[in-house]
Amino acid sequence: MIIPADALADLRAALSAERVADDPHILDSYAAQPFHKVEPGVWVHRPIAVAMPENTEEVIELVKICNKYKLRYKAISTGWGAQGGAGFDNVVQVDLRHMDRILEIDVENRTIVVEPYVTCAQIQAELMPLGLNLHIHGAGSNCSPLASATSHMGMGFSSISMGYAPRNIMGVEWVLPTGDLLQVGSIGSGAGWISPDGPGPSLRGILRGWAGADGGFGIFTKCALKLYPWAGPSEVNVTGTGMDHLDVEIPENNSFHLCVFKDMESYGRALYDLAHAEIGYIQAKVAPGLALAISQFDRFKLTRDNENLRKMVGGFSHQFFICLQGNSTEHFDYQVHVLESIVEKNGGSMLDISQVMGTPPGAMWWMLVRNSLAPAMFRPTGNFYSTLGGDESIASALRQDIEGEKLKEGFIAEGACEDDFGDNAHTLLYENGLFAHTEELLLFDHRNREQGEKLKDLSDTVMREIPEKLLGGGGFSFFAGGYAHDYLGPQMDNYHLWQRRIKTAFDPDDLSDSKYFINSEGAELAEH
Amino acid sequence: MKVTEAVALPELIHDAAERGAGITVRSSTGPGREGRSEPAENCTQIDLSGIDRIININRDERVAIVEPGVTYQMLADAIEPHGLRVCHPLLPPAGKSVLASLIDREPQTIPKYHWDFTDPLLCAEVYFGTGERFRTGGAAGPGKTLEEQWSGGMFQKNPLGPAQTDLIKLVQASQGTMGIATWASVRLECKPEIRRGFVTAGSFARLAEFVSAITRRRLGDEIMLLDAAQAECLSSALNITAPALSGGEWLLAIVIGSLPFHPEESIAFQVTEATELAAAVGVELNGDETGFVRAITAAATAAGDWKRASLGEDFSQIYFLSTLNRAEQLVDVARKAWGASEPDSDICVASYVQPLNQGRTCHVEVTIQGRVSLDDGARKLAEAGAFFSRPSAATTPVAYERCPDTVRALRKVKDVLDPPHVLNPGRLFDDPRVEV
Repeated sequence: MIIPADALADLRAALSAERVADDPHILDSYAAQPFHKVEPGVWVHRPIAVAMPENTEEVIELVKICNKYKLRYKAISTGWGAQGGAGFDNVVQVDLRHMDRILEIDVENRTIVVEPYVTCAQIQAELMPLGLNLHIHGAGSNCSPLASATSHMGMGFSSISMGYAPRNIMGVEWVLPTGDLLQVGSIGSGAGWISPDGPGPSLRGILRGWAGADGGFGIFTKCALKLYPWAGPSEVNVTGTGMDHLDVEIPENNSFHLCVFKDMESYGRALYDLAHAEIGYIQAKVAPGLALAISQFDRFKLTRDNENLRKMVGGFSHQFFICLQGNSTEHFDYQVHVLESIVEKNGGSMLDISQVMGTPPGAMWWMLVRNSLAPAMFRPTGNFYSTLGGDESIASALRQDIEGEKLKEGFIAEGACEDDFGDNAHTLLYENGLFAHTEELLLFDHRNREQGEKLKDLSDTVMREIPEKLLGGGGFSFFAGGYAHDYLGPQMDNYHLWQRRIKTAFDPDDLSDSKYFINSEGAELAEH
Repeated sequence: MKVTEAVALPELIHDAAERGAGITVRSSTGPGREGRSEPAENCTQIDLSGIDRIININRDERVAIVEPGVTYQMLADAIEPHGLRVCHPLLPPAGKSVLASLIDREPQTIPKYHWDFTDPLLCAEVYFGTGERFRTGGAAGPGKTLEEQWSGGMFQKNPLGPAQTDLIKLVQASQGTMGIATWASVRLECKPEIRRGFVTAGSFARLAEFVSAITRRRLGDEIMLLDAAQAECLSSALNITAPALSGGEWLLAIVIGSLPFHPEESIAFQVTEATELAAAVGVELNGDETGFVRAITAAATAAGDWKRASLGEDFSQIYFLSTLNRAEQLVDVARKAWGASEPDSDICVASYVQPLNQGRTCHVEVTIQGRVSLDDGARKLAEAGAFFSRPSAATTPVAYERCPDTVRALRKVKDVLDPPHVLNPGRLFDDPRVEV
């Protein structure tokens, strides 16, 4: 499809000719989105134009133009997955890269206001000298915290002390699907960015749920986020680059630990103890096969092909790493003492990671603080896929880990993905264990057509298993789009009916690209 | 009308819709402070206080599920043997429903556990104006019943969703206009073995600076700032002695509680840090010699409503959100608005500032002796930056006239969740006084 000439002219008049493109080679560059595609292959739909607004007024204008010509539109900022690309044939891709300003840092009240293309790394560099930090979501520090908090998910290594991204929202400026502006929370009443809710019922309730609409429900142009303390130095002493060559001195009152347990039961008990203890700055499980694959691929291959080494690495399956940070030496010492007690109580061990993986603890510590591990996931095989992910209790996370491993073993046996020893759960706690996240990761090569074909049923297989085996909520399956909602909704109190009614009320022409949200297809059938 | 089973609600809703009538609900017992739950004309009030089971308590998960009639005292008593406690508002009256308080987004007294404004509410069962039942967050399933979900290790803990909408946020603070909650899961915390109360007096600015410093580190359990009149209200209601304050001074009440592991050691580092931070801003932490802090941090009061016990029936109140560095200025606006700042004024205006959201925001509550008009004062406060997050009848017009985009969006949502407009019609954004 090509964009109607009148629509293109209107967009160029609104934004300037330089910031609206319909050149095929530019459009194609937005259509190569091989990550987290449900269907095999590299390409998503080619957009009919790309528009790059510089401010909220321009976003409003372009959304109104799309409404006028009944064109779908889809926003992207720093996204690196299929969810950022066009879901249909007649989509204007709205690239928000020019909206990249930090608008305000309120040190006293610990909030920041950002535009969509500001990255976590950019913010963190500004915050550390102020004794502050931000929650960096799983996609990594190269990504937009606004996109995570408003539009996608938001778990990350710092979740234990800094929560889940959407719960860090303090207010949002939102261009609704029809082009009307809505300021959510106190900012809408001219009272600053002090509350995301009210007056009365909170419109955060339609803005997103556990998951965001992935561009299917308007465009978010500003967002205020909570900040958290950083008790480290203004600048961390780092030399070298890349995972294998980093040399980092862990600052005073900070530490990194790998805690290993003999079985799932003792690991689970330790997680519950940790959840009650109110300690920890950063925490997660990264399965040993995965950790080895992304950090030392040669060692990984050696281990994979040697049965004894496999068994040995398998002994590290029930583990989590944790970074402690103390506001004072006493606080730090207390946390170390508690962690030692938890590990001892549950028959575990605290290991030196440099002996296990050959990666210096300082390097691991810094990669976790910066959250630069996520991009490294592409190193071993070129691509990966996440499944399950229905956040609930620790017990539910462990159950998902067990079932996820079984499920994955089948795909490994078929050659659908890399043999990374099966266990590849990535598990973490939110808010001192209020609830927990887990996901099962598969490494594969999207250029390998055979693997792509064998993996195409993965999303549907997991989606069927979730209700059958009670594996938490829908998790990543929600992003399969409308049909996933029509399958999971009836098994989850018919949430899909409400989600669709809200989408229809605010986007009657379904123009905000709803491929990964919900649309009116099948609505009549579902209502009956 | 007293309802004893939630399953009766769909029929009542459909019946009211057919008659063109409305429904309001009430879960607490005893008199309310603002007449919020008084039914409007042509509305039936449904009393849910008789539905009062504690459905589940789970120590490992630190969660309980409560029905509408469960009071704070009932819940506190039930969870105490499990070594758990519930976060609650300042001295909830004896008949105060936990569920009603959670659904009303009432301010909590322990800022470090207040991660988000919805806390400590997690999931809920809700009936919408269509008569449909819906369970929010992790409670949506999969698993058709709570028991089935428990068998899969799911304990109604995820407060978000399900999926890509979050309907509980639309029900909270809606005063029953969006849905009727019939049970809720509530986040609990480990009960500290050791609790040490402290008080300190000083200028609001210094105390606020100290509070900002400790909440930033998530130090301290209950933390409250009270002016002299507020401290006096509480002490007279509870028949205890408040620490002495000199002119213009505020009182900071703070509890430092032990953590589950190595309780003595946990108290030691917290007290050391708090003492150092207090000294850095020139205030001193003193022990709770009179038991004032212990008394005002209880989960419920036998005296009923402490405001009534202290002020009788004749008082007015206004509350809003602000930040610690702006709250004092807004309290001054309120005092001026109701004539308490005049040198010879005998009008009693009591102010209470509750840090929320780990200290990023605060709830400011101003109580004025006597029945006074709040309209002009509310407008002045809004102009000065007060945010009426939970509008009362008096603050509804000023709260919504400032955000017409929000009103339009909420009305659209109301049409989805309550198409016949049967749930507490004519309130909040649908109040006829709200003009867009």
